[in-house]
Amino acid sequence: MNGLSLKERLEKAESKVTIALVGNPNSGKTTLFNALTGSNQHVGNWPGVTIDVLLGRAEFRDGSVMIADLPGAYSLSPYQPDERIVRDFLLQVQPDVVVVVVDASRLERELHILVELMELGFRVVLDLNMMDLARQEGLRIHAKKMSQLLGIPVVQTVGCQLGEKSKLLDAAISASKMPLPDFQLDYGEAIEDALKNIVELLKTVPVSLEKYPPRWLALKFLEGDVSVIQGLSALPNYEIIREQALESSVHLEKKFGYDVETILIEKQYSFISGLLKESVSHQPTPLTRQASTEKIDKYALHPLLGFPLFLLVLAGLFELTFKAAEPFVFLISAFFAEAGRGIVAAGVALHAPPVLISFLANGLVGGLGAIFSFLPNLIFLFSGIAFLEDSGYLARGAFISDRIMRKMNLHGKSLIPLILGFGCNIPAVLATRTLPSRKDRILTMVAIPFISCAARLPIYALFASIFFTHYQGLVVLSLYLIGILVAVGLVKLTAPVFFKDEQSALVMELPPYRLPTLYSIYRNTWRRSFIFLKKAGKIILGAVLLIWFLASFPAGSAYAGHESYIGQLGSLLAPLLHFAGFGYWQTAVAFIFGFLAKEVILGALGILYGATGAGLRHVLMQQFTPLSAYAFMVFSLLYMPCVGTLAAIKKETRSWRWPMIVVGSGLTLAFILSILIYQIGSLIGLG
Amino acid sequence: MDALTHSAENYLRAILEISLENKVVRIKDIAKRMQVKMPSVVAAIQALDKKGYLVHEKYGYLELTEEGLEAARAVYNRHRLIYKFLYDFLRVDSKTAIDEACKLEHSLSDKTLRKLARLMDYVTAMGQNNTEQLSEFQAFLEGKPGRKATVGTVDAKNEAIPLKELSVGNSAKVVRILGDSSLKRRLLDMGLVPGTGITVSTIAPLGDPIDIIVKGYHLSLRKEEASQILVIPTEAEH
Repeated sequence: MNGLSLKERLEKAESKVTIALVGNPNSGKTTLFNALTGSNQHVGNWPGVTIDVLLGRAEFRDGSVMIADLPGAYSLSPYQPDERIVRDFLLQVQPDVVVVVVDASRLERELHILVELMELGFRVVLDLNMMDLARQEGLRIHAKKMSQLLGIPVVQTVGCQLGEKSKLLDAAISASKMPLPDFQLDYGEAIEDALKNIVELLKTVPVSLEKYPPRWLALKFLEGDVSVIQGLSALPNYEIIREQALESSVHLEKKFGYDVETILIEKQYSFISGLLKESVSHQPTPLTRQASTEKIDKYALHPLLGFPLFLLVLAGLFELTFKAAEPFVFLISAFFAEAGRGIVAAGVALHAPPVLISFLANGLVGGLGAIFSFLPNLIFLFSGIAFLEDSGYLARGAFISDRIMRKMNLHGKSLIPLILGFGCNIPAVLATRTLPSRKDRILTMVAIPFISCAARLPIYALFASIFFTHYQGLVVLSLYLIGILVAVGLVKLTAPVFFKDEQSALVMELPPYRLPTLYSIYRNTWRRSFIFLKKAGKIILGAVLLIWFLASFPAGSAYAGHESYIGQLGSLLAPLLHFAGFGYWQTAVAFIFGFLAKEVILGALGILYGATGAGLRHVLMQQFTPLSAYAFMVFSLLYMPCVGTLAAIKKETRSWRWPMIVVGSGLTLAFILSILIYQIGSLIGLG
Repeated sequence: MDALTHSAENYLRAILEISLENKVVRIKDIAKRMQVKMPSVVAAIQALDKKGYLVHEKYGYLELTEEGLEAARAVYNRHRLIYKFLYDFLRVDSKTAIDEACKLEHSLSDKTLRKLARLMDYVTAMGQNNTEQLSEFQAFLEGKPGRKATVGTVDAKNEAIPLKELSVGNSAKVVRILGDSSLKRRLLDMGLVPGTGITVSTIAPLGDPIDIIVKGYHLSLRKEEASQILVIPTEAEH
């Protein structure tokens, strides 16, 4: 993005104050961010990861304020990717104020990250969000008392009401003018002594460690946080400090009977429960959110009903993504087709060179059409997923299906992307965003391209109707099954090779249900769709133009004809396909075209054989036997995902490595399987 | 992490170090820090990359992945365990313990270390039951005359059971989280600190994962993770 890093862009922005929003997942942080910044926001990238940091600007009183919405985090530990980004961002960007957004009805857990932030020495404002729900639950929160005890400003919000914007920003801006606070949680004599010793040693370090408060560093040394300890091993007296820390930690462990990590977190939690005892009173009420959540969960997590219900929801998402979007896809395709025809007509009228007309009509407009015709699917998919995610149901779905998915080395949340793959592989790849670990995300992406998408169905349908009149359904079903088996098998093979030492865990909150706001869904959908168009669009357009070039040149050859580059390439590849029973240059060229989108394979065959409808059926009947037709279908199922899917995988993994692995394994399997089917079939006389 | 070689560990460490100082880690920074030639860094980086410990961005920027950090944590914990054994159990002086831990951490296998950890747990638990016995044991190690330590049965933990053995509706108090991986840190961060009360709320239709209530919210875990949490059952609340 203009080659500027997040940090540089923040520094360049002439905002007086930089505010970072931090909070647990589901604390309503992003809803608040949307309310604060409106459409004045964009997605920043943080190097090395695919997790979004949202930046926005709010115009307020005497200037503008920069606001960063950091990923939801339960703590500042370095071991979870989202949490590590929060920590890295805060330490490197050093925002003026950190606003900690908490769901006021679940204070105990949500305040943990606040304690950690205060220990890091930031100016912190506590925002008690969803106060309405907390009141419903019978919680009386004495914000003033809490503010006194913590020594920081505390504001109360409901989440999306306009008046709250200025309340929150006022508190944040006046906090930004305060001196840096010096918060120290009292860990008790034994630990305090150990901390003191390490802090003394740190003071003798000749280099400046101003980003990191010495007491915080001492805590990290004691608990053995490798990301900090090893990072400081270049310090001159590192060895002495580490020895001191190790010695103290062993003593403390002996004294308390727990390791230091456990002791420290336990002390932080007991500080919080002490704080809550002083500042919150509770009167049980019957009509709580907890109660209604439990009512829904009776069905959603029911031993018998739970799974069918989840499949029903998935079917709904599927229908929404593909069926509901269909008319819009049709309109957009029709628009681009019309535009193409218009260009041809205008070009002919103006006597423009045929190459230019073809470039504009087939190449450019065709390519843009290919990109934009995905848009309706994406918009419907992203809205559906945002709804499931925000409402809290997605976590339930993962809970129910985790056992099955784990058998395939995947995660409960892998099921949604895989099911979407039956519609279109591209949104399926993009839906892997909801998976928590990199391993699970990548393995799911490796599986998706082998799930038969809707674009492959016309190929199966045509060939099955010609060659397997009586067993059409069975044949098509067998292809879907081959795809699933290959996907599962590949994940099984890939997991131990690339993720040998890694365990994936499922430690997931089942948040209370809530109705997502339309505005939040809209912003989410818009943002994700836009990023896809921007990033994957370039790759798709490039591929379309490349194929157009290969099909149109050298000058004078018929479009995609035998003499064109693509025809020559096809002739070159045809002998390879011969062993699978369809070694014609036309099929090879059709497969090259199929790289753009699988449904193009049929259209290309039509052009190449100069026939459509019944004519094409007739040609195919002469060129193929039932056996080679089956091998052909298997080949088109497996050989390569379309360019859009590859672009999506590239975008999500930020590397060409995984797209290459998918292409490599797809081509290998396609050749092996189709050749085996044809050769063995011929041997046993099926040919 | 047995496949991680000594040199790979040093590379991981160097990358961590540089990433804390600068925002980006480049191959030439690593070469400079480790005082080796660029091609050998590239080879080492490729090996780490293959293991999935690194993300190799364009322009040659490197970033440690979750797995890379987990590997670093394992290396650190191994070091700490050996140090603790030498310093706290064998009563070797701290300086020597550090030096020798640095050497031993690369040569002892994970298997041996796990057994060593168990031995240390055993001796610690024994000491909690009978402090006299422990000090006698340690005096014995020092070569002082004394009754030969008789190791009795250790039953300090016999009331604690893994969380996964609870059934729906059962309540319990957390005793400790086993293991040393980042999963432990995760569970602690989510509020499963010693002394915290939990209740098993639901078990998924196929028997795994399970959903517990802790600190007023619902947390779901796989049985595998739940087996790492030791709890003492309490009376069910109704």
